[in-house]
Amino acid sequence: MNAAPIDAARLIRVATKQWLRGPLAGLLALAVCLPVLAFAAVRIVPSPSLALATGLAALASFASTRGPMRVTLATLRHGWLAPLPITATTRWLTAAFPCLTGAALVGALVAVAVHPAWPFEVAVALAAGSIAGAALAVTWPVARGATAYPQSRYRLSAPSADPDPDLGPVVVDLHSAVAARLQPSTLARVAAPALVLLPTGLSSLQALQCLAALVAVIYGTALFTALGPFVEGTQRWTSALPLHRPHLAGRLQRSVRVRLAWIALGIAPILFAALDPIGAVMAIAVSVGLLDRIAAFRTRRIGRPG
Amino acid sequence: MSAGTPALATRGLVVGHGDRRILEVDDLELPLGAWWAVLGPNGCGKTTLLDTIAGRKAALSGSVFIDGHSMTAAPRRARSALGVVLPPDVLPPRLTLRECLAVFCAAHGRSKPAADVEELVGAWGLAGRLDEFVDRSSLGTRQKLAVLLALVSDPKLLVLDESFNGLDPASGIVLKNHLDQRVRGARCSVLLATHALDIVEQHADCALLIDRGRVRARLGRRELEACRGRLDVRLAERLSTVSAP
Repeated sequence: MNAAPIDAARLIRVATKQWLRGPLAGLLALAVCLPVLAFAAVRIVPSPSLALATGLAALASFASTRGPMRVTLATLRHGWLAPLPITATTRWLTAAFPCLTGAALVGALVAVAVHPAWPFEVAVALAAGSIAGAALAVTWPVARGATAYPQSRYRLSAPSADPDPDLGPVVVDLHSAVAARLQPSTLARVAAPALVLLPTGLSSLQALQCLAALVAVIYGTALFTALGPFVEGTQRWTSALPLHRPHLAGRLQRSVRVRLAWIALGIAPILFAALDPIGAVMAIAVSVGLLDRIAAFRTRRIGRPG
Repeated sequence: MSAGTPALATRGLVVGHGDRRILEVDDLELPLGAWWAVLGPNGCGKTTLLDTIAGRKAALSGSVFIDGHSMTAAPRRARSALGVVLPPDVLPPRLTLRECLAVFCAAHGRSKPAADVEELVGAWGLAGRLDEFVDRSSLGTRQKLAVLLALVSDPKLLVLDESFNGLDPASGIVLKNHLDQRVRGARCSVLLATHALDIVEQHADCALLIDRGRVRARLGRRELEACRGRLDVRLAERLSTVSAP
């Protein structure tokens, strides 16, 4: 018996339809935030270079596409389409197409919104950058074990009685939970007021630094808001594994530290631009140290018995 | 595949995490036209076995063949012959029941479900509710959808994990009769993990008793009939025997 031919186009069409039926609140937030973002961008950088426009759009698009792509691909790998005889390419296309369509749509809308203030070629560069950033995000590898939160590969397995179990999947779960929070509408909601508050007349490089810092802060916020519910949820299902809980807490803490280092790298440029080098180093050390302590405090709850 | 090809065959299947083995199964051969039940206490490895057969979990070693096709060497062919009844909570919330069915038909190269699947839709009273969104549907309706999705491809092997949960008694009877027809007509085989011993007594040709990651006993049709009405006692006896030091 030959494998039946796959109607990939229909799969992609349905996936796109499902994506378009996302929560109405999210779509409304996006619709409200886009003009605000465009207005803020025009106010902050009155005459942007082509490179800046492309870079800004690519960075913003990458940051807002990565989370949905990760969640969608994990859902296709482990969720309802998992038993189907579809190729890895079809699966990837099914996940990537809605993400790219969304980025192209948002890029086009922003280009239209800024066109009266910025030259036509800059508006086109914005749209192109948006698609390029999304293309990078969808081709960026997603860990094979990644599951769509709150499903967990680890929780689906039998509880480990090993003294040294592999806790990697739990860490992947945590970052799936973070990815699930990094939806475009959330990013737009946070970015819009932040951009309105920025000073006007920034240079291209300063604007790019600001955006990098903003993305880092948004990621950090998502990480910390996901950490609490994740720790609570994990505590419930690890209660049967008292020996492993301190181990799990330590593993999560280490994983969070790596992300904190990335956030520090993201906010470093703007701090170095605003403060003297010693002040910037101090600011990074204090803020990252503080965040690390908060993360340790939260994850320590897993380590406690009972 | 030839008429004698088993719907399911496993060879040296070992499942685990890292070096830890949580399930070791002797070679299994489920012929076409047979209904096997998988029994055992909670956490014994029933779902792990079914997930591994369905390709949702990777084995540490060993092979799974569906209708003669290896799940690792020819996964698309193997999956074409496999129907897996998914847990209702993984179904897509923002699609309608009709759209879900269309996706599964498309993935199996069909324009619409087979006639007897449409009959099942009618028997369950779902015909007028196919345009409901999944997240607006009751647990029972989602469970029925999961069964329909598994059946659209006319699979040679149907894997069900506690799939009668959430179905009202009448719908459960409809499903049992439907599956019986498919099995007795040698269109497919059924592998069902369940705690509902009445289904096992009435429909299964063989029951695998799993405990602590191993198949501890196989009860054939004759043995199942012999202990009709007291299968629970028989299973408890078997488990106490295998658990004894």
